[in-house]
Amino acid sequence: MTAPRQFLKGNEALAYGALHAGLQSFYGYPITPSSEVPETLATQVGRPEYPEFRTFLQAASEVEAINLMLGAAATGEKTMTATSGPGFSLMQEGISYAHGAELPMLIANVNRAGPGLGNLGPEQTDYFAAVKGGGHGGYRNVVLAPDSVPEMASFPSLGFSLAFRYRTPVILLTDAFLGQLKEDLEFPTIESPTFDTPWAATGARGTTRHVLSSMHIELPEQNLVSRHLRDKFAEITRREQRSEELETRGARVVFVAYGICARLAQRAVRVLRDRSVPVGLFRPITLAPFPRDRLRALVDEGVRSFVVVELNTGQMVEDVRLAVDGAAPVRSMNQFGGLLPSYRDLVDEIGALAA
Amino acid sequence: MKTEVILAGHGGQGVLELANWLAYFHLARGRHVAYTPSYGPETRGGKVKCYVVASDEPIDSPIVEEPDLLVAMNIPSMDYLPLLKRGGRLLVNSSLVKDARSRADVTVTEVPAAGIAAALGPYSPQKGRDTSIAANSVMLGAVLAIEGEELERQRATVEEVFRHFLTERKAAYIPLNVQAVEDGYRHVRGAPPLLRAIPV
Repeated sequence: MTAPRQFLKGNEALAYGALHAGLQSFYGYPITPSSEVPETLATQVGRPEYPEFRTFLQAASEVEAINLMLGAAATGEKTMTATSGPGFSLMQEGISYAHGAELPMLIANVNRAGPGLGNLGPEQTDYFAAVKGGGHGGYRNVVLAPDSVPEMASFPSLGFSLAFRYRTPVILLTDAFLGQLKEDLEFPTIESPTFDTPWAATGARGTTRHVLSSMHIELPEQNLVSRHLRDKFAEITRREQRSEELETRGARVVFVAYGICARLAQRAVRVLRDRSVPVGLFRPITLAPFPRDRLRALVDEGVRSFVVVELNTGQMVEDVRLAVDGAAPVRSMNQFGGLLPSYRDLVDEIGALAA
Repeated sequence: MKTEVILAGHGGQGVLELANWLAYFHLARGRHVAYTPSYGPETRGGKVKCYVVASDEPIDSPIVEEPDLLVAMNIPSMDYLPLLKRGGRLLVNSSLVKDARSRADVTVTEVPAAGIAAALGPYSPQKGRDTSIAANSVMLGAVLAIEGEELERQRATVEEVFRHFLTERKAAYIPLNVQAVEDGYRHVRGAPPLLRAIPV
């Protein structure tokens, strides 16, 4: 018998993926449904397999965790945290400061349901908070959305690459379903790239003094910084849009879905294609920058309408409408509160549209 | 081949553990698997429900909407009965669920899991340890029988499953759990439990 494939929870894969990507420090505060990330990482400090991972700290709160990350990131370290909605809210101030000072870091949000404490079920209600920026000052996050346990493992590496290339916080936005889901996987080969960080404030002898601050008290200076941040995200939008498609060739109707909803839509597409209904799936991998260019191109390729499936009352649908810009109708299919739609609902919805 | 299972019970019965073992059994057999737990905030006693999908093909949606098999470890688990696929199988822990109501189009298998497990012990005569806690392993054997696995040829796989999950001091309980799987399997196949020397 060959060695069995690995059997990991999404959250565990995320933790190991970050370690393979060269994670140096983790600061966080446990919260269901993300707690397996710190639980896993806490056991790996000092292991010879991950010599770069030297710091695991359970902070007193998410506010403390994100501020510890500001310090770690300022030294040029690969640092990350993992949380869920209530903790993500507490971190918004720190994320805003990280943008102001252009500090790279990785923040995983395993989205649970509802505002406030809500419940432990899956939702995608933090889309706006992640994609539009949940804190003050008009910054733009880079947001990645995995849809499987193997991607939970491989996306921290992608996240760090983007974070350091553009000196920006990167949000890994996933949901309670994918965090808790266990799948078989061949653990992906993950690069641990090293990055030049000439801007870092390491305090080392012989280095120049660097001040990493988000305070630009002279108005023209803040104007310049804000222009720079704007131009940086414009460049990210030009260069880093990522998406994946299933059966979009010849499709008349296309689902747009990410995370666990993309998995549901996969099943609906297979069922409908078996009935010769021309449907496909467009899955944004970068929720920000939104993969608008490829989505818009689908209209020119013959797609007549889009159905956006998401676990909220309608958030990504706004970005889909902006991308399509009136060239095709965009419908919204939602479920929320911790519940999931049935793939049969998706099949029924499309059956009528594609006829 | 693709099987979709819902396993349900309450916290403390080892339902999630059972689901993990079942998924890992299929993984060790070279299949793709997906396991999704759901549970409340309680430490013990809360409602537990778990999806296990095993398939020769990559799995699209891991969400089980129409299970081939429902494993009902307690009475509230019967709430999932309407979801069962037509012609599906219902496996009931009859130690807790008496007079299981069912559907005309469903085949019911009753396994007194706690009773079968208790009959294995006491595991350690000195400590008099009650072995009814191995009821979930009995149910693993029952599930494998229902799924048409030939346990005689898969004994090594079952041992591999327990070696994966029962490590360090728990490893001492691997033989007991393998026996519990055997007896659950034999119950479904209509064979009496094996007589064995009890390890001390």
